[in-house]
Amino acid sequence: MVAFAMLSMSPAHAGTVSGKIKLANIPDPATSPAAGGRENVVIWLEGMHDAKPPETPVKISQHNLQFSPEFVIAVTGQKVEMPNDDDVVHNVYSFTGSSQFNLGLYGKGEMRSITFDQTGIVDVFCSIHHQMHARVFVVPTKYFANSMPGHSFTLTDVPPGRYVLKAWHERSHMIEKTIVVPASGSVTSDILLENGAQPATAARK
Amino acid sequence: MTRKDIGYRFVCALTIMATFLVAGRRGFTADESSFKPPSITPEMLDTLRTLPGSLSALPAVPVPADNPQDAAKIELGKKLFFDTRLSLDRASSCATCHDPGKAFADALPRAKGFQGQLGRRNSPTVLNAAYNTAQFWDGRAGTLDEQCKGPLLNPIEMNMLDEKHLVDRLNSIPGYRQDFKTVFSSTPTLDNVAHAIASFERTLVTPNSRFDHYAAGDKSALTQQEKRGLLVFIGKGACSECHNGPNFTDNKYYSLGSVAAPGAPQDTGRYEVTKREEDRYTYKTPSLRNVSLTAPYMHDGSVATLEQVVDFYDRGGDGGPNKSKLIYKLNLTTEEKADLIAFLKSLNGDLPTVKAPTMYPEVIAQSSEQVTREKIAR
Repeated sequence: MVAFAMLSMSPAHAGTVSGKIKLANIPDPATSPAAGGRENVVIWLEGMHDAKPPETPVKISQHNLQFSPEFVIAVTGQKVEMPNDDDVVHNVYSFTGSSQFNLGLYGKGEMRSITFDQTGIVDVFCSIHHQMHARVFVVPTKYFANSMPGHSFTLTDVPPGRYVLKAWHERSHMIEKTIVVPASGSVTSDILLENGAQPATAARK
Repeated sequence: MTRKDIGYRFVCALTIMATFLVAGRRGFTADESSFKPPSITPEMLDTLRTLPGSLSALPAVPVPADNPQDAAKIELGKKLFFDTRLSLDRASSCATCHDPGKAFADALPRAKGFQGQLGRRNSPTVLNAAYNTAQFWDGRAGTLDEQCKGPLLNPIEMNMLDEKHLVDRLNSIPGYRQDFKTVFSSTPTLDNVAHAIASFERTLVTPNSRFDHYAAGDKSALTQQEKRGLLVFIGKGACSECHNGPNFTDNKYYSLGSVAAPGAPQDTGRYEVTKREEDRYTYKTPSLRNVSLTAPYMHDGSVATLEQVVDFYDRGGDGGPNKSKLIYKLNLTTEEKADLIAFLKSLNGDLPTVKAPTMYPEVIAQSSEQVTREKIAR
């Protein structure tokens, strides 16, 4: 509640949250055959009310019979544009929970768009080209970053307040940390990714 | 909904998704097996405002500014096209490999040229070649006017020795001397010969296919099966990724992973023109109009039937080098293949009715024959 009170004030003051993303017992995505480009680490803050989603849309093109990019982050309510840049038709759809949609058949130069009001991962496919698969990672705030293990992340212009910093990686436990962003200055918060599968297996034995 | 609630749902979603993602990123897991992707119907196709890949009815023939069409030029070009005296041994004309009775191709795997020599590649049809912005399988000519000079002087095709040899031969035929004077206000030259032949070739177009009528808005012009085939063409088969535009070609170059037959002559395709590594073994996308009339197929005529061509693409091509990433296993069903072939047959348009014209008589020109004898003696 303190955080809310501070958030409602004028955002004259803003801080920066940054840190390094470290690997524990996760295979190096550069060398692990299972990685397949799934190196994304998504970091975001929870505990604030964004006035409105970013006006700039997120774009997933259909090009060379692939979605490009195959992984995007969108804020709830933010428009996700899906232009067809191929010389074939596509029919983009998702069966993910309450985010289900079907954009129908459309050809080159045409675009359909969609917004998501539920957070989570939305799997996007083409009903014609089954090898096409993209994921939209829907976060509740514009204060997010997309990084990789071994790299760092930075969230800028964060209003002062107390937040839960969350980090997601496909083969890691969800990371949740409470952080306090001061009226001015920066917060450093490193993220240690750990493989989620290993401890669970051990516990069952 | 509270924030805690959102967070909880999110974590649940992640847990479910993690299972799914680990199990098979590119497919459906058992949990989703009951889920059917939205299906596509011919009725949906009919609702498309424009067809993807700029597929459309044949437009008017483009005519280059430096070679306007006129009736006398077209008639001269037609005479030249059919005249075997444009070859060294007076045995072959343009129409030898581009036979009006064989959809302006030759029905052979590889072209047969001067004194029976086999070329390296399949004779492409002249039909609708006027729409293409690249000529020859390797695109070494951009226009028909450039293209038709090639075979005249090619040693294994018509084998005229040089421009002077060709000009002497034409000057020995009074009818041609008169025609060139009338049409070009000039004596014959290699450029004028090419302009005349190209003008004739610009009349060899095939409008009014049933596909053309469909693309122009007559939704009843194609049968249900042909529409399903068109859906395969622009969808699952991804044919229109390269066979696009009004003439069903993007005029670009790809390797399909074809494997050359043992003993086949060396051929590196577009690489021979550009010397760029990425062009090695690539060949120009051919038009698909009238494709059911122009067997055999591929740059080397190595595939005999349309059914085999579809099977080739369905299996994702073969293991040859530099294969385009647009060539991959399609998993078409037997029905989809049949539908696709039915659609391809709807691309047959009105064929031009062309009869070989009466040839001008020749007055033996000493200079030309001397050259001929010298060449053969060598």
